[in-house]
Amino acid sequence: MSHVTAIAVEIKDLDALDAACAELKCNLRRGQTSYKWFGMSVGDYPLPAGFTEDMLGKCEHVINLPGCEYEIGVARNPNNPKTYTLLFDFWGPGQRLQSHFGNGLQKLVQLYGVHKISSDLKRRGIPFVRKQAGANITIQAAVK
Amino acid sequence: MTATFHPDGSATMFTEDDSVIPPQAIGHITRAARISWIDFNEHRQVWEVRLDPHADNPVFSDPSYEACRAWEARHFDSVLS
Repeated sequence: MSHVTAIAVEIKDLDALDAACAELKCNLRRGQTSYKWFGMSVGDYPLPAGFTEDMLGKCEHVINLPGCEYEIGVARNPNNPKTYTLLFDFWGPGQRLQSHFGNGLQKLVQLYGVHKISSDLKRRGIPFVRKQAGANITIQAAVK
Repeated sequence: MTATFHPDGSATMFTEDDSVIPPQAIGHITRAARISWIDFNEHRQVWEVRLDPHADNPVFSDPSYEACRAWEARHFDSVLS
């Protein structure tokens, strides 16, 4: 029996995130525990779910876009520690992050998903093809 | 198996029950819907594939269950790719 499933992509696999970063010409700096941002929350936007103000600026890893003053923090999601949340400041120099990675860094999340499933298939030795149709990217494997 | 990643950070995945890559590998499921039914027709002695469980006529039938599964995979891969 076949199913169609809608999924909200969650970042769990650093190797897949690394591959997405490489495709987007940025660097995942593993083990860097703070990211560059404005430095204080002015309270004009809600904080990411599960995060408090004192948690901003801290992370486990960092994504650095060459030439951009601000960075993206890769922090454990307090509500689901098996996943990571991408923290970033989209004001001032952070606008460059938005323009490069898309609104809410969605292009980065999209490519993470593409690389995550691609690496899972490669690990199992399953051939697949990657296709781009407009802004969508499809991975099609010759298995169930 | 076909997975489509959308520019809003969501994905749509077509899988069969025993898919090698479970959808949970890439995130949390926000919606799942069954899109095909395979049942045995005792009168005709074939397996029948329906995309609507109430349809009178199957979209594919074959004495082999595996042939029906293969048809399903080809059909949805072509629709979703």
